[in-house]
Amino acid sequence: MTEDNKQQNTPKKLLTEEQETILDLYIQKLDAVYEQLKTSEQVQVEIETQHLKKILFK
Amino acid sequence: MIRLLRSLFGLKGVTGNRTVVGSPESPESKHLPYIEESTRRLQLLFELYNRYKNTPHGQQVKAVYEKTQRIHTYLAGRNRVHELEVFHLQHTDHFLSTFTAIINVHQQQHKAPAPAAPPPPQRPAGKPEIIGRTLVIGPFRRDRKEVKAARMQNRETSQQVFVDIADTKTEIPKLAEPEIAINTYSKIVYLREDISDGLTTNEIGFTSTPEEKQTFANHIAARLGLEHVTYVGNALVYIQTHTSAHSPEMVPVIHWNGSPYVLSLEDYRLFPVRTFRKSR
Repeated sequence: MTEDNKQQNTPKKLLTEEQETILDLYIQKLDAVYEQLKTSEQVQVEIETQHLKKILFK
Repeated sequence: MIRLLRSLFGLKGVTGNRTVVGSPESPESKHLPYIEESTRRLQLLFELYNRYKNTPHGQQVKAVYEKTQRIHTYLAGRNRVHELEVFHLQHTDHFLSTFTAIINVHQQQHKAPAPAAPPPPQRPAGKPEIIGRTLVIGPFRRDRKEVKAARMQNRETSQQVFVDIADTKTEIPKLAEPEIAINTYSKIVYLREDISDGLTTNEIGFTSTPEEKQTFANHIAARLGLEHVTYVGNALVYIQTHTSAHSPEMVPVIHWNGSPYVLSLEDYRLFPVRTFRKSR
């Protein structure tokens, strides 16, 4: 029991280095996906604006 | 290994498909299974975080949960549910299976030397964890021989009884599945037990945060002993069995086992309904 607790306080390395890298990359990927979503929205707005501009200044 | 993981996805896919059955109404309601599936994945991510919590990687897994949730909120809020589903298929599912496999292997290795060890401590409060663990379905598919035979037999029984009472003018009650409209702005309150045996008042509505909806769904799941409950929204209905049947009541609508139900908070009874979602 006490041994068990000790093990929990000083956890052994669970992930290999490669797995850890993957985990980090995955977090970055999630950020990238989110950023991309926001950018695509901005692009959409920009396109709409340009379109309207074109109509007005024809 | 990968093949094994893929086969796991396949199994999960079935859970997603069956929700479509029995809800052939407005196109908006088709979004619901996707949202539900997405919420289920968020639950799985959160459970995964709980399992990693006491490891050096807890914070990272938590970050994955939070960032995934951010994407869920963004896309679901804009009704872009297909993109959401594609995102999960391409990312979340792979992540979940890989890191679930890693922690499973890890825990098995640690359990082996201490056979009489107490159960793993990662599920302290049992209640909220009832949801989202088991994968059912499979042998109960509609096209199975046994399933068909059982349905046929019951149909014959029904026919027989119907013929029996045909002359007696007995009225057969008709069960209805009324169409409800989700109210998108109002919130209702419900009581929830807290740790010290007291009651806390919580609010729930269509505009509640995913966490609040999750808390509500967990509460209902624990109260009713159901699994995989998701919260849909509130709706205004008349509940005939109540003494206040003259005035309509605002009640929560939950999605369970592929169909929506209205939940009476007074006596915790479920009434089957069909959802009609106004396009915003």
